[in-house]
Amino acid sequence: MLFLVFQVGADRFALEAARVVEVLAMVELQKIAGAPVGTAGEFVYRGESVPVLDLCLLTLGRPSNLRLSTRVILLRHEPQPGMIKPLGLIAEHATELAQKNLGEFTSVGDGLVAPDPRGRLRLLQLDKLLTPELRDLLAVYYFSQTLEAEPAA
Amino acid sequence: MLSDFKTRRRSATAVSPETAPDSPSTVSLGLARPMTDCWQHIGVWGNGSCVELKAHLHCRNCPTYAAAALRLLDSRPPAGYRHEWTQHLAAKISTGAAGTPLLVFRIGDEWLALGIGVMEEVGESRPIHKLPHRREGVLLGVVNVRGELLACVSVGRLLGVEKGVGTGTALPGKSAGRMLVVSHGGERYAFPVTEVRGVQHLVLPPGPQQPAFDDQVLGAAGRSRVVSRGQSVCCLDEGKLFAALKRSLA
Repeated sequence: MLFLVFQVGADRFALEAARVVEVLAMVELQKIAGAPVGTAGEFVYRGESVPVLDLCLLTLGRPSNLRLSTRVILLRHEPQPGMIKPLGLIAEHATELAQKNLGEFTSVGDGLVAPDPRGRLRLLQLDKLLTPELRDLLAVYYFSQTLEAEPAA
Repeated sequence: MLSDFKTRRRSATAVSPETAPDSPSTVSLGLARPMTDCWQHIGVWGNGSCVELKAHLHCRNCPTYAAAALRLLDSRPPAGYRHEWTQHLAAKISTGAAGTPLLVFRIGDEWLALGIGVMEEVGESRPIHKLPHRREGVLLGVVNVRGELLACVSVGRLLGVEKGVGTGTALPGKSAGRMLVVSHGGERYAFPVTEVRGVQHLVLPPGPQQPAFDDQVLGAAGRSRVVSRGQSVCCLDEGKLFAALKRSLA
């Protein structure tokens, strides 16, 4: 399997490339009013609003550094079974790919870790990262989107 | 940023190779950590004394060089970078070009188009080996396409295009022309053409078009004529073309 490798602080993370729609350059984000900690904002992707979470803000409590290598990973998020929505994740040093088997990831503590020539590689488990507040926000966000889309359809 | 890099490279050539490994200079990109430009000193752009060169042959294969390249992305984005991307990504992509994708090419003075479904290869023109007792007619001979001998036909002769490369009157010269390889229903042919314009999306009229009485090309194997970039392009019908080729070879 192909994995996208990026960093959150000093830790290196891997995300299944099959879930990634596109790796985008850092864009200008609009704030979402009343959004919980971890949300960076929203932006318009091909005419559709996409909420964006900041992985550094979520895990380290500081926003991601603004560099060329800091990118928005646009992935297919499945908030409910059978419902696929776009979600952006801001990650630092999103510049590499790695070929790994899922079997190489072993359970260490509460995460899955694979050995790597440059230290260990943690599997990003989005479901564990999302706090209940963030889940609520995304649920409301996607629901209001479907409401807006219906009159047009 | 790039200009920094260029001036750095130029000045690095002035450094004498003997002293270079002892006093590696650094590239300044406004980064937190300095970076050693070893490729300028002990690498292929320096004196080539790096032990890693034995394994990697060239600096561009070396992980150190790759890591240095990745460090370029650690710089701050230029002004307007985020705004430009935001605007670019917000725009909707037009959902595919309308029309049928066709490969447009020219034989002699005639512009023709053939569905990309039958196209296998657009290659350089190659020597055509003539067959004995087959000097006239549509079959020009056989050509070697990746080790396979294919019948090389003259679509120009078949359609009655008189002049130019691929018509049978003038075979492709050293540099002129391309060889197209087509296959349809298990039959494969190669044929020379004068020029290939590329794949274009052309809007074809729904039904077959009645050819004008003097339009020999459209009458022979054409489906319809469309105007593309100010030129009349004859879209060929795959079924008719292959049937006509088969008839003429028998």
